Amino acid sequence: MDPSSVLEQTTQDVSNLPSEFHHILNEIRSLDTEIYDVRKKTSMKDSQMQKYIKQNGSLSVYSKEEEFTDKIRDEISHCKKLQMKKCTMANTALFLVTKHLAKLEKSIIILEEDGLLAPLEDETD
Amino acid sequence: SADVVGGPRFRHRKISVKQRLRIYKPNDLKNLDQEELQQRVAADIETGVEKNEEKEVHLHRILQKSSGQLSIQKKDYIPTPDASETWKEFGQFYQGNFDEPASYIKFSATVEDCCGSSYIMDEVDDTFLSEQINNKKQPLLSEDEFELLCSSFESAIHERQPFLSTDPQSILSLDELKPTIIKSDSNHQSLKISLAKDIGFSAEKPIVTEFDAESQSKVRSLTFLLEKFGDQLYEHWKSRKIESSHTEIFPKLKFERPDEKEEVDPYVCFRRRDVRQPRKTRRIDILNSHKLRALHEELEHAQKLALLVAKREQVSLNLLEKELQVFDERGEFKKLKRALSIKEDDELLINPKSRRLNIFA
Repeated sequence: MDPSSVLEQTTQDVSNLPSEFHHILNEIRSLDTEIYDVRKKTSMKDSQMQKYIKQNGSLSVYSKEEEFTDKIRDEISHCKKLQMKKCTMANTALFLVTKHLAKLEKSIIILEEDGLLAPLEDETD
Repeated sequence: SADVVGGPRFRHRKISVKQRLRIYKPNDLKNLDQEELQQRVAADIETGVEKNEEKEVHLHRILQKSSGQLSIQKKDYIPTPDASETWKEFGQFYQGNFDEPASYIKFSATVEDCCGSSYIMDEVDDTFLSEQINNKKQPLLSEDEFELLCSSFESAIHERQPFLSTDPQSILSLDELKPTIIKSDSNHQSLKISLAKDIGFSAEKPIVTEFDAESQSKVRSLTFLLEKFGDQLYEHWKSRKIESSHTEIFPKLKFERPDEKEEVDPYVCFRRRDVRQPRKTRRIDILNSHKLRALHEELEHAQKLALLVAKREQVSLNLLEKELQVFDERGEFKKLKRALSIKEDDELLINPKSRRLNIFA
């Protein structure tokens, strides 16, 4: 083991990482737009219901209350599913980079123990 | 017609305008020998398969024969595999959906990353699990948990006793092995737990990535499983390990040992003969050390940003969950209010003004 072989190995390991990040973040964005569109509809319905309460109080029933309630529930649940997908994707990106980082740090420790790695450059230099 | 068949390789030339071409009229064609016509075509056209496929053993033989202009009449043919039958249980074993992403797939995870536990139960394990452990009505140990325990035994023994096959009876007891099992990070599980903590989970729960099957999330923690089922399962696994040839429970590929050349055994595969020579100096490799440190730093930055993104998505999820909860509770509240005709507290049913700053507004 020496710095050049570790460098070579790590460079190869992470060579596809930038494009993977790009891909994952792009997918997150496209899901985000999808969520945004659904949420816009939801909040419109919700505010319509709230406006009715403001004017007439909660004891009288809004004519479309049942229909709206079901729809809003469905929409938020759908968004939640999409959001969980986003979380999984973000976690994957984090996991990938952390795994490579952990592997590299392990190698650095071994190299340092063998005295094969030049020490960190002083910040003040 | 023998010279028309030509050599093994016919080089395509552009048709020269100066060259005279013989023209057949339609009524001539009838008079042409069918065989001759075919050979004409064969001579003018390349074999039609890709260059590397011409080397296919049967095709190669045929091409050579025709080039050699041999008059052996024995027919050569290229054997083809028959249409494979369908497998009845396919639908049972291949389940799930793959949603096509908007952009092309980018991927570099290995097969091992996507396989979950390395240990896979076979029929013997299945009988043992259902008859010895789960003999009561309620299953105590799931198959995934069984496999998690066995793969951790497997990797721990591999680490502590790499030469177990020389004396299988000397296999360590579970108590001796436990520290190694707990310390080992099979399948990056502890990495995933610590990342979950970084994101902000309070419970000791690993993060879920795209490489994890949904069923894996129900698996209980290794330490808990060890405490509860470790002894019983270890005895089973140990006896299998000792009885197996070369102390490998499952069939393995055969590899060449390092520094050895094995040429006779047909089962030896994927030989690696390249050896990296160490540098002939004791000096520290300053240039590559600095490059390595720089790469380390960049990876750290990347990790920080990835953590922030993961946190952001988690907060968004929590927000959505809360929103759904608030919505449901408002519904319940309304019902109660109407049943009891209570007029107060309507403001709890309406979003306060400040929420208008919300991104969704």
